[in-house]
Amino acid sequence: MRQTNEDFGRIDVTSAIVSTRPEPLEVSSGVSNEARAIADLIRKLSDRDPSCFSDTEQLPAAAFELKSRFGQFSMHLSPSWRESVFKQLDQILDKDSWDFDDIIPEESSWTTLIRLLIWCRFKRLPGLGIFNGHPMLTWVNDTIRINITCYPDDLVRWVASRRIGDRLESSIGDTTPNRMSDVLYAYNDGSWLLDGR
Amino acid sequence: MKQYAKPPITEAIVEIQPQSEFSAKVFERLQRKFRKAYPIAQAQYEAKIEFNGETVDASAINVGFRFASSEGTETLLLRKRAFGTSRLAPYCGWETFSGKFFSELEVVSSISNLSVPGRIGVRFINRIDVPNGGGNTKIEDYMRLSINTPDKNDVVSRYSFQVSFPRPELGCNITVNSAILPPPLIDVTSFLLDIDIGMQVPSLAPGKIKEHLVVMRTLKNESFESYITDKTRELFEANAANQ
Repeated sequence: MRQTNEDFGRIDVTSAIVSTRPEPLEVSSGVSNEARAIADLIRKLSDRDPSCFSDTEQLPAAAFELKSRFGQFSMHLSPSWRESVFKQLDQILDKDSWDFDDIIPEESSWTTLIRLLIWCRFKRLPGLGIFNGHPMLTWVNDTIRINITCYPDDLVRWVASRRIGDRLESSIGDTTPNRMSDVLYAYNDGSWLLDGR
Repeated sequence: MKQYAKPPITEAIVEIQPQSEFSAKVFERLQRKFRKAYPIAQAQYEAKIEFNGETVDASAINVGFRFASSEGTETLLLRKRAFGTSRLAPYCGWETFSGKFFSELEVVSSISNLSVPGRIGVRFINRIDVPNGGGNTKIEDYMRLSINTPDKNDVVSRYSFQVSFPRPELGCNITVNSAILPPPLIDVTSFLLDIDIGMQVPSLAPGKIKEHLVVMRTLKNESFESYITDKTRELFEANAANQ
């Protein structure tokens, strides 16, 4: 199971606390039947979702989780980026505009987004959107359009297009956050998005 | 105490634990009060697992609530035997952080008698991200509270320990958790430095707590500075991305 400093921070050594938004329990194939039974029971307790959020209550709770996750990396991003991302997130997760059939982004995809932003050091603030429950970043200028969708486990999928004269050059592909700036170099006309090399 | 441009604090917590639980009536009143003040309320459950011969039973008991602000930075923890506030990153400085705690403590104090013995806890969880360029990081370059291995050429990729330092002259106990965390960023080694300072006090009345927190804060700062190196301090001044 993934372990972060937050996990260290909230361990209660005298009792087991079941979070209302638990991580899925993974049980190794080598454990005993008793351990497996305990894991199943804990999973059932977790599945009860004791806070019983209604649809509208889920949105602020989800926004809090995503913002607090983003905040954990605020030392690596300028305050204006944090403000911009939070403002857009509030607009996306607003109960009056949210389609409740849509999927709220999970922390794993959101973490990929954070890693991408910190690694690539984009020069311009992106537009933020949600695509099938995954965060999507968009940059557009007069001739270039770039969409990057972030998935769990450091998978980023890009769609980029650039108008050259009367032709439209485009590309699509999968990569990792630390390769993204190399991939986008062909669309970095005049270093508008990434620092020049 | 030096104010860093990019403090590594991921969470700061102040908590009080009265010797006995809040009464059911007080707990209910506090819960209603904080529900109105915070947009997000999450129930917290304690899981109980019992072995009865060949069967295993599990049950969950509500032990309290976590209230949170919409900005994703402020939380308030209310349990039957504890009350505290926490500030998630970005850290806003001691004055703002402790000011929030005391304003909420006044609410608790107006409903429950806090002139009772108990424990005060101040905890600062730091994550120190060290760029490693894809290679190894020498722990001792960044952490003075570290581990020894028999062979000085050993490369340590993971460690985790907890150590306690009683400070009877101040009436405090310091507990430090340190570890190398699974890397949250690319080509970075992340150290956990979790400093928890506890003090048993005869009264949890707000006026008394203020005096104790001054001592605990100073001790926390001195401890933190003594556990890191100058090279670590430089990291807290470096430029953030996208500036």
